Amino acid sequence: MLYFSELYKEKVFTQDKQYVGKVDDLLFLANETPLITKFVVKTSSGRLLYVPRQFVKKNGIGFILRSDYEEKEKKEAEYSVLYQLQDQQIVDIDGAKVIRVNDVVIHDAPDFAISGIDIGFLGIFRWIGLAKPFSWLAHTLKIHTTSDFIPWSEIDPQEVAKNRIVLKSEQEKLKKLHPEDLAEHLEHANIQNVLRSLKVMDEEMSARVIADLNVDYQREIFRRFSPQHAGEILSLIEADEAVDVLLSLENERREEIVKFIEKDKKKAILHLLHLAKTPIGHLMSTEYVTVSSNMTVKEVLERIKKESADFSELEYVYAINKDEQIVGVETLHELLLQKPDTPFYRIMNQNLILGRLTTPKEIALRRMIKYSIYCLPIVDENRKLLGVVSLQNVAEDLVGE
Amino acid sequence: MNKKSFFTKLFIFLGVLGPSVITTMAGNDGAGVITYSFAGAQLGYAVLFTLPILTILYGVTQEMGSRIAIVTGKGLGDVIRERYGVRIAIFVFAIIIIANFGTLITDVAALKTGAQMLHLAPVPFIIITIVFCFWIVTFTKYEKSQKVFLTGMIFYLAYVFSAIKGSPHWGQALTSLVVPAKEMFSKNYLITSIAVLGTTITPWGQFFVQSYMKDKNVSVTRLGYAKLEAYLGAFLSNFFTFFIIVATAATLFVHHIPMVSGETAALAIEPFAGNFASLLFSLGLINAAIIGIIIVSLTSAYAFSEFFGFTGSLDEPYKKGKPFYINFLSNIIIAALLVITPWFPLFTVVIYTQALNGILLPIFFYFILKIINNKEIMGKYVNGRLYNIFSVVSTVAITVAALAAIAVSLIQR
Repeated sequence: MLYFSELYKEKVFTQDKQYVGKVDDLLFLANETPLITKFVVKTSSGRLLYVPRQFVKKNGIGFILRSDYEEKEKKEAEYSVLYQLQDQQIVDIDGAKVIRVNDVVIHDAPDFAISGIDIGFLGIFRWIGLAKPFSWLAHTLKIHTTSDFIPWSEIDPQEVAKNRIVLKSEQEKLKKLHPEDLAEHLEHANIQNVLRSLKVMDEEMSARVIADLNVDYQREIFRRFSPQHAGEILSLIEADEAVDVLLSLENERREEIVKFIEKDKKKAILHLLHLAKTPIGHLMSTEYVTVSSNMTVKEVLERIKKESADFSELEYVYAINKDEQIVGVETLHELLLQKPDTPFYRIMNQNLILGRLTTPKEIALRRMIKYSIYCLPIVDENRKLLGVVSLQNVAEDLVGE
Repeated sequence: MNKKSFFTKLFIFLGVLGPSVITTMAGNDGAGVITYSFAGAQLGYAVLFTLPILTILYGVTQEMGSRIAIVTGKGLGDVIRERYGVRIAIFVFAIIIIANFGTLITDVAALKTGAQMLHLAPVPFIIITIVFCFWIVTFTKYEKSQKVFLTGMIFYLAYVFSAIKGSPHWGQALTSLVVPAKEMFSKNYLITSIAVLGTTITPWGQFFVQSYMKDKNVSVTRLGYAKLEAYLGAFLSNFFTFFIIVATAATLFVHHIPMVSGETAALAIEPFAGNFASLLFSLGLINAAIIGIIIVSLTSAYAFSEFFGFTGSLDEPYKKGKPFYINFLSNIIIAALLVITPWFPLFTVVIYTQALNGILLPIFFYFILKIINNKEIMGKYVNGRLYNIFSVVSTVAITVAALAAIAVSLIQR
């Protein structure tokens, strides 16, 4: 996740390292899924460049524009983070002033989108580059700093389009989250957002989106779809993906859906389902390290040293929440590159690739190869982390057969 | 028919009345009264010539502030934060808080002087006054606090009586308003009239009128009345300034009594205007100081909540606006403690406060003119061409005067 204050005035380069300008603003869609659609880059000559998001990539020094990037016009339905969110007042239903937007929280995976607004005091300090000294001071004095966060789902997007920030529910007033709960929220918000955006897409498009989602989302989605609709969608995605989704569902539901799958696809799927009698439970290992998402990089590294001394290998660190559900992952390499006082939730990848006890080992292997990961976390029905399966173990097992 | 509509209009006008009049009258705060007394004693009736010009400048600046508030429904702090971002907001906020704090100290000092003139023990008197001020803004609703402020203004009548008691030369006083005096170009005259301008048109006054007007929720359809109110407020404020100046001009100036500082005016006029006039003059000063204390602290509190977005409005119940009141109270208490402290360099602080206010004023006018000419914010209520030229000229004049005042006071040290 990112804060707008950190993105603002970040340098933008082309792929061959030519300086283009600085990030001046972001444009977004004021709806239930507030995707960032364009980056506004201010060139050194003061010209504003509107670049569609898909041409922009973040890296260590700032942002990189793809060499084939195009400039587009700002559309009517696009709204400005700088002028329509940042620094604006949040009003409740009576229109009385409540509080101000101090920063905008943006998540960058799987896609750039706004996840909510920060109304805490830390947001102000972030703008003047004093967030770190301030948190350090507060930490030393044992004062709990408030980085209070209002998720986008609490905000009425129609009002944003009218230049007002209004909270949806009057009863709940400000339902603020603390940073330690933020990561969990992001995960949750994504499911909601995905479901909402699926409604407006055509079948082919939604099948593509669903195929890219992790198992957990897929299961949620197929539980909500009618069997017929579910069958149609599954006919459009790859067989192994479809099988994994089906295996995550209850037997009855699975059989209902299979009826509606297109003939050719059905054959392949039934074959794979047959293979799935060999689940991966016995390949699972407990050589993994879990942390809480609000731990700092330094604390995470210390825990790794303490806990993994007798492990044969370790590639990833997983973040879990209070209920032991997995909420994020990061590689050791990435951890080593980060500053020690960065909280883990700021850097972790929330777009998780997961397997479950019912996942056939062939599918687990395919998935690890597809996403180039060395280790697949295995979760239960409630997304609780049970163990990990390493690429090494699965490959050995399959070759051995 | 015609008559009825006149009364309807008058009724609406009285409903809108409040923010501008209260703000402009608060311009005659403790610091203001001291400066005006001093000006009258030094220059006599001649200084009155500056008043009509001052009235117009005051009216123009107040009108722009209240127009922005009515059209946008926002205070100056709100608009600056929303248009210019966190960094600029913090910068402007820091200056206004420091400058206001200085002004607050001046007003508490005036309170102390007033108490001494009435032979009251200053410390208990200051404590009681602070409690009174806090009670007014905390536990009374907007409508009520407005009534208290408006009632407080009646005490300015004390200066009218004080002036009458001094049996001034009314004819000369009135002609001085329009006929320039020959000493106008003397250094002393220039410095003093700049000081008069500097204590009347202030950054906090500019800020306060907008916040207070915003709290009142005046509809755009009533904009015309609000404009009228701004000019009426400027007129009323300078109407009383006229009498303060006349009161000291008729006594101290005429009898060539040198005055070291404005605070002693009440004592100095006693031999010429009598016991009663002196008493009224002291009461007037105390009242002016109280109004100044309340309004300046409120401005700081408004600034905090507008810039940083914490609930802040006189309309909110006590619990809801806690930061607002804590801020308000802590400011007054610290100022009072400093004034009571014997070794506190009061005079130096007053000079530097004036300098800060002088720096802040052009900054404020820059934002006000930018905002009021922005079609995106003001819609069709932007300044007209002529009015804009006029307001730009006025604000430049005020700015030059304010900066000149800083230069002079710093050189004189």
